[in-house]
Amino acid sequence: MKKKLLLLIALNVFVGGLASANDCPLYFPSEHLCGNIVWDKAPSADSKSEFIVSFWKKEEGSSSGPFVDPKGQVGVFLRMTCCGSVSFPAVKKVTEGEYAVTDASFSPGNWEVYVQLKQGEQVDKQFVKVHVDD
Amino acid sequence: MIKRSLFLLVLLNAYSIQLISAPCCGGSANIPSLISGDNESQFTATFSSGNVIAEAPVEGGIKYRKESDRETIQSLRLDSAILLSDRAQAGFSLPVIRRSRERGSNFAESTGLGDISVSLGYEVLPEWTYSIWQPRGIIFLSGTIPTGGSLYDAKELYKVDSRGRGLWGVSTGVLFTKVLGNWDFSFLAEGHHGFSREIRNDLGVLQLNPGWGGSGLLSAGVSPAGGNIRLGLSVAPSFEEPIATGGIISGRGESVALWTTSGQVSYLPSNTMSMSLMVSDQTLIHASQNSSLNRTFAFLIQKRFER
Repeated sequence: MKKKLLLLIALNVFVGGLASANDCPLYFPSEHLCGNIVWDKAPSADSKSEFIVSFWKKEEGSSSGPFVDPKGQVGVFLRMTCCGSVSFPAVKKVTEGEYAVTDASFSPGNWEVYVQLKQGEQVDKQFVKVHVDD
Repeated sequence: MIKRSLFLLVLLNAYSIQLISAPCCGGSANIPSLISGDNESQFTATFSSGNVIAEAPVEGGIKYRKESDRETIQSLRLDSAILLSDRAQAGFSLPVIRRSRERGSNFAESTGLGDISVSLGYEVLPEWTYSIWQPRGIIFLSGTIPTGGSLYDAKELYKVDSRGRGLWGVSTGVLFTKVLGNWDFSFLAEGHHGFSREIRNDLGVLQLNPGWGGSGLLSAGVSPAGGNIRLGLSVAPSFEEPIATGGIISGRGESVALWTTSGQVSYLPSNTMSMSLMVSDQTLIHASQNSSLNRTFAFLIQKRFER
């Protein structure tokens, strides 16, 4: 009985964790904000990719809104996992809490797409992993 | 005997230290333009055209590219070297590079200046008298000016506008040459270091901290019957330590190893003019790592002015 209870608690924590990760794909503790990436042009080695980054308050919003502007400056960079090369796509605000990222250039392999909030010397950055096929 | 050796030395001078290397750049960034014979100055034009045929992954091995993936690198490189004194010399190398890549229906190309290099050389082991064993030796110091842009600066699709390392660099090394009968031999060893660089943008500062690198060249050639044709083979390994990044993102890339094998046929129409056809392949020795691998054809013409 005790074992079943422990299992139930563990399952609850695991499912809760999953739900939390899904609700808050990118968490920025410096501003208590969540962020998400939605691809307009999926990562590809053969064309420039584009995506939208959106931000919402962790306790008040979701990936469908309402979105809020971070206090920090929004920046994005791409890092190839294997080899350390870094590139900087263009970032432009489109509406409250939503930023368009264009000119993202990939080559085949594993990448990390970083989203960064910067206020003075304070930097908060999170990333999602992306695989680009040959 | 001495006259024949001098003639072979002219041949060796014309052909031995030309090397097609750097997969990005279609040039020989680490091999300076050097006078290794009895000339006052020399001018060389090298046209090369290569295809990237494979990749050497970080974990080693060779991964050949699909036929629908065609990447070409063409370059025209002008080299010049001039004596400053009996034993000291200076030179420069100026490459213009065109890169293109076609994958399926996508195509990108870019043409521009590669990394310029300037060099100083000093003949530490002159061959004033014939010796059966002593080679001629030249030490050199060269600098690379990052006029070609790098992967970090590239904006075009497939980064075809990356034509160099994007870093200032300094290199030093030694070249030994020796003629024995109809045969000639060269050995070059070089070490280099890149200087740190900062890329500033809205995200902050990205620091690029390159490490050390080295390259070498071992070549042998023969002039059948001591004539004005030379056949040569060479192998050239090179190694680069990874670039470490700091600032915006801290990390460390991967080191690069590259082995280039070359064959060449050279013709000497006169003592002051030479021409060479060269083919180089970076897939024959399976020890390269973290680099694209090329097969390149090159034509070289050189004019020399005797002392």
